[in-house]
Amino acid sequence: MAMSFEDATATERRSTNGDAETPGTQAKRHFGSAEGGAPHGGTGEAIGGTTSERLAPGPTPTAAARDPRFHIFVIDTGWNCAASKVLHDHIDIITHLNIDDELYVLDRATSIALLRHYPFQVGRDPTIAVHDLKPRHRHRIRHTHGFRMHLGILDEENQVLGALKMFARFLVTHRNAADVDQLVRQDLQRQGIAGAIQILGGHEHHKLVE
Amino acid sequence: MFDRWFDSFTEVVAAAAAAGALIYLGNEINRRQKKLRDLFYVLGPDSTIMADHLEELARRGVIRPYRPKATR
Repeated sequence: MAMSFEDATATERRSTNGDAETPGTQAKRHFGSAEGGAPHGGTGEAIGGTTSERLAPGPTPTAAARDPRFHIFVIDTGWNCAASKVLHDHIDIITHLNIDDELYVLDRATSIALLRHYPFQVGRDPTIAVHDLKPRHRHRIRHTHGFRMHLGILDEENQVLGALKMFARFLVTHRNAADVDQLVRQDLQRQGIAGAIQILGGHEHHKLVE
Repeated sequence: MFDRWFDSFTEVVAAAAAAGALIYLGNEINRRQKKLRDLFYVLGPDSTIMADHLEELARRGVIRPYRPKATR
């Protein structure tokens, strides 16, 4: 699929990808772009930063996750600046907390190319998709289990940060749970009840979502 | 006469206020629930295509696992 991406040269934020992919190379590999591509001769910037900022190998997670429970995908086209900024500022923490799981950060070009296939997701990113690799299938028709967090619908940084904290806590707490879907639903229900209590109590300024 | 009218009037106003409060509460809870479900979307059969697409990108090596900075 040919892809045009005019803003592929824009400087991104992160500089920590050890594999040092240039912006757009993910998309080029998969979506066959020749136009947007690697802006700096294919070697200059890692996802969102310069290669010079890359650190020497330190206590990073093992290359192959030992017993991954989740695949975590971060899709970010850069729409929501506040959410993008908070997410990228804290992505290392999330990675370190989920050291046994694989986290994939799609660069901007790849995210845009992907969302062109899924128009309903446009404008809701940054999105964190969590796929459960050991799901409990309840029905005969099997599908990917897990959940997606659409940070793009939150406007303020503290809301995004709160949601991220909740997300990180949830993943770490329930990593070994048998049925993650059910837990997410229960958590949502709990949050809903808490929200109702807040409304009744008039403590709306403490609300999580708004 | 006026007293009876006033009593029924206050009853109606109180009932209307209570109904209004209940409707507001219901709407507010609904709205928040919707927003929360929008924020945390549990994958179902309808979201399989995108999920499979992402897994395919990972499997084919189009996207690679993120490596964080070393913690200090």
